[in-house]
Amino acid sequence: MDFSRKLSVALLIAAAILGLASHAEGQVLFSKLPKSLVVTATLPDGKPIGVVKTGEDSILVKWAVNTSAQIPASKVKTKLCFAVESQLLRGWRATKDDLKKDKTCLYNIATQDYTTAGGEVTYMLAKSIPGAKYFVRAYAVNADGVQVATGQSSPNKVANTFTVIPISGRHASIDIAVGVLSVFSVGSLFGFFILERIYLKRKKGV
Amino acid sequence: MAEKANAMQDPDEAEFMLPVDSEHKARTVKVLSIARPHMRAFHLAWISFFICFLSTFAAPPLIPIIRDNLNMTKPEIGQAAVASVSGSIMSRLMMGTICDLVGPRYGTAFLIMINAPAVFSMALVDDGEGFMICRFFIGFSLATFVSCEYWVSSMFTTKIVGTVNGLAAGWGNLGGGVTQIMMPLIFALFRDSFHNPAFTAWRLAFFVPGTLHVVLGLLILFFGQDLPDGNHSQLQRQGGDVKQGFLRVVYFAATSYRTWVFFILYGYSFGVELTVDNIIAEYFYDRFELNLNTAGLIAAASGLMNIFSRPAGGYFSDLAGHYFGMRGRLWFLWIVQSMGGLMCIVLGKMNSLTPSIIFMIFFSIFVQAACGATFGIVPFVSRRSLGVIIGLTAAGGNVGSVLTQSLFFTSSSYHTEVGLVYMGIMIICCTLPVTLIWFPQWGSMLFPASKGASEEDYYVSEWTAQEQEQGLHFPSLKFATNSRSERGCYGGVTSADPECDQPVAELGLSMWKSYSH
Repeated sequence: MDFSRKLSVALLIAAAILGLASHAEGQVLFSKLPKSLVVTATLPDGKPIGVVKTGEDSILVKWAVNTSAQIPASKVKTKLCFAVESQLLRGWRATKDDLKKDKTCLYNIATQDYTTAGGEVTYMLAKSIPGAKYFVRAYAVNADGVQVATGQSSPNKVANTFTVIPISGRHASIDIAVGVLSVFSVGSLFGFFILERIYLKRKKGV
Repeated sequence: MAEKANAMQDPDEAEFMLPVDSEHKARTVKVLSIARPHMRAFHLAWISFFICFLSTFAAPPLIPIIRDNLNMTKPEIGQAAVASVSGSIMSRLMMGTICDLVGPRYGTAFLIMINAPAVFSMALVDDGEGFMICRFFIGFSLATFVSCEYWVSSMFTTKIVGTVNGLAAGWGNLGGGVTQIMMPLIFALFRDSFHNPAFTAWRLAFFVPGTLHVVLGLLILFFGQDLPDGNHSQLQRQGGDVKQGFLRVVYFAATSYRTWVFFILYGYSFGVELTVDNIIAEYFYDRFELNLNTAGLIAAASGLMNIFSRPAGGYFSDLAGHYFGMRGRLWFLWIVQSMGGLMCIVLGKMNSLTPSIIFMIFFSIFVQAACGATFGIVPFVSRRSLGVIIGLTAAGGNVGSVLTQSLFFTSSSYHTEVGLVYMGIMIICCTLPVTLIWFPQWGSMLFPASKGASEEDYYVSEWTAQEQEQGLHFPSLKFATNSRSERGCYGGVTSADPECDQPVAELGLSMWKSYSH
């Protein structure tokens, strides 16, 4: 009786500590982050992006700091983010204010060192990126990896977004293989059936 | 038929590797043997059912990749999942008749080999619509449940046919669990070892279940045999008007209210098992941020419970039937299925990973045991129309899955976890009809048997006076006598049932007291 009481107290304390720990780490809310970065996304030659293809085309992402205040950042992470249109009816891409739960920006572009002079990167779209409408966002992160500032190329996730055309994943060789195997499956079935019929008729006849 | 058996008994006893009865059906089951014809048929039957489960549920663990490749929305994913289980409603209804006409060997082989192109075609789909159509056609292959049961029942004697059926159906259902581990691994193989982009790798992964369809089909054709004595086409048909008999069989099945109660009930044991097969990997992937392989592994745990939970459900139903008769079986089914519903509600309410896994496993164990328990009672509903009732119950399972998926897991207006809670509530409500099942000779959950009712009256009433004059009802009479054991040792009516003194362990082999096709 005494032991189980001690055990329950120990468990309660452990739970309380864990609860505190998660609170102490702190949620980073997107709405509270200072919008200190200016981000633009264009084609490598500077023209605005309309439609780009994964695996073939590249985009040029530039970020700059537009505040004179000191930002305690060490790195800048740029990411590809979904426009509102591509989040509709797709809960796995939902936007949440708590950045730990936010799924708006699922694809990394680059991680660069933070400097007040700004930076740029030319990014060839990876073949794993799905077809959707996107914009680019940059997060300035401190040494612990916590986001301290942000900026994005689209003001409201609707305007100034671009379309990415994905690979289909299909190849002519796959199409041919499907055809051959399907014909083999149905053909061998009927072939066996007919041959067995003939064999049995012959057996009966003999 | 009797003369034939007598004439053949002595020389043919030596011919079979397993001890056989007068119909040459095996009296034991040796799981590690592939002796022909019995054990070979057993293994071919359950493995073909396993592979059909494998291919029907091959898409769900890969949905996170497929939904990106095909640009699908949640409603589209939900509709495809509904389509995957609705195709087999029709095919399960037809399979019993097909087996009657051409035998289970051709029935199974035809189904899985004609279905193989549908599995391969998954590699060609470009949008949500194509995906849905493909899953619809692949789902037809779930009719192998009926042919598996039919084949196994033709090969094993009535005393053990229940256990063997529970093993075959349970191990076949495993396919739904194994596929959740297997498909992500095959996908990773094609993506990482063979260096394909993700959107190609998942397409290549579908060649594996498709090829298994073809291989199994050929194995069945070359090594399978319908009946212990030979193939279906080689044996004589009994005389009688086949067409009229068929219509009467369907009539007696459809006009019994018990058939429809089981149609609903199985939808909330097997049906919800199918639903969970479809949604659970995506649920763990999205809600708890796991990677594809881990989500698949957890989802697989649900299906893997089938190794023991379905046979156990049948075994304990037997135990309940031994002590308390049919009333015991009905109570057991109600308790186990309602517990499944409760576990589903709790699963939806869990917010962290470990409790979710635990309650998902409990849920799976209870609903799978309910599946096994259902088929501990179904054979007693009718002797004449057994095949049609099995087909209808099995189809009802799929209808239940279609219903729960459409209602709770297709709309974007609420999250999957809320859908799980609602589904649990629906399970508990839709299990209540089991209280309505009343047998005049055995009673129901809440009411006792009527005095003077007998098993013979019940089973012979399925034959018209004309048919009884011709003596066509004799198999039903035989069955009726055997089914007296459903009065139970403590149920009341029979005073000295010899079975009551039997040690309980032996009953593990006599799940269904009598079922011969």
